[in-house]
Amino acid sequence: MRRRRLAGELESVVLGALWAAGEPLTAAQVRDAIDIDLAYTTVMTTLARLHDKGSVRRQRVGRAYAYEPSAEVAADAAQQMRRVLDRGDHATVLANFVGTLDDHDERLLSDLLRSRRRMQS
Amino acid sequence: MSFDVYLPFLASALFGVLGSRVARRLRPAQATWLLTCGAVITTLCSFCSLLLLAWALLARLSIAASLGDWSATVFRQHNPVNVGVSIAAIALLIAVFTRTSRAMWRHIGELAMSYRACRCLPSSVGELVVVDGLGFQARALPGRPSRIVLSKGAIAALSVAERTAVLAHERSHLLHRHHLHKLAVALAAAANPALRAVPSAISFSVERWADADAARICPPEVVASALSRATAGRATGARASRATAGHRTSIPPVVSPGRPDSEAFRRARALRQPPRRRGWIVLPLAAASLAAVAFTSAEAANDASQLMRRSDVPAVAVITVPYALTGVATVERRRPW
Repeated sequence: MRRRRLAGELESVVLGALWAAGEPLTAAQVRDAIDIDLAYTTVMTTLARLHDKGSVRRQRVGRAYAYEPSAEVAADAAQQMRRVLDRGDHATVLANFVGTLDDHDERLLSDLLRSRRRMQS
Repeated sequence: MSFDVYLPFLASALFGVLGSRVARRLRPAQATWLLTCGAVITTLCSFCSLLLLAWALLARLSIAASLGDWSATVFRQHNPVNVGVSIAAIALLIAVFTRTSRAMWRHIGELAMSYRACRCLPSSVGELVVVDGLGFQARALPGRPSRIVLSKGAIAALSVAERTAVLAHERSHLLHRHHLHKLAVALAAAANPALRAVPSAISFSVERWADADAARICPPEVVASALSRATAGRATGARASRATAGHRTSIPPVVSPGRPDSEAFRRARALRQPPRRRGWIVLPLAAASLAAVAFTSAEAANDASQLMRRSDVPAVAVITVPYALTGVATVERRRPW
């Protein structure tokens, strides 16, 4: 069964790909950098919508546009979010992807990481 | 009102112990609703019982009876509730009130903060907000519109498929309003100490719900590996933030998600072997028991109102009271002599 996608959902996926790339991407590159099977025009439309909003900047590369997340917008947003995130670590009502991580967990995981690194080197 | 008034306390205690165990065996959406409804219903019924018990003491007092229209003496004869129990109920009510209001202040404050943060963002910011930070942050912030926050550390740590999984996971939290479930249960648990174990059970079950939704978009193994990356990222992030000069740029390797009883591990296990579908038996049973508790509570309230009617001052007396105060002269005049 095909699920209808929400517009915001696609925008997030595309924006996530742009952030992960760390460099301007053309629509074709974005299409390759996401694991959802999308039509080229869908990617184009989504990028154009993001650009209209001001979330991304674009520059001409050859005949296409290359897009990257707008740094000023991101910095603004990050600052707004900072307060929530700082307090949010102890939040009970707001969800966190991995919720509770106590000292024991942390020690165990860091031991694992360390032994793994020693094995690799 | 002798037995039925105490039943909600027993039901709360049972639910506090059994609720989270039963929920673990159900599918996440069912488990979440069961926990929320159970916690709210048993808490409301227990609260009603406390009110009834406290009222049983107040109604004994002649002062209260003189304000209303009942006889304290008759009430005392029929009242099955011990004075000590009533006093304990009043003490508990005060404790419940302070605990719940403190919890409300805290939890609603959290949500208000999230709403405020979402509202303050300019319209150029879409659903996804990326923040600085090498640690692993992935959050769903409810608001209008709601946002998903990822840290740069999280984006760097996740593969393409894992990133899609995490986005789908967080979106599921927002779509199904998991924060409201958690809020309801947190308040219920604050009011009702018997439900101490339920908040962690509900947070586990909403995470499972969101994991299952994410696993509908990408393979469950991808969700599980995103989980282990997140767990590893949280650990290194916590360490990096503690060490003053922590510059980590390498992607942490995938490790098994924590010790066997950690939340991430249990979620990964639930993804691998989804619970068997026993909801058809358990859910009607749970619904029937909760309905029975609610019914008993209503019955207790009904008993109380009947007790009140029985100790009502007779109507004649009610009519004569004003006469006794104002109509003395009239009565004088009617005397035959």
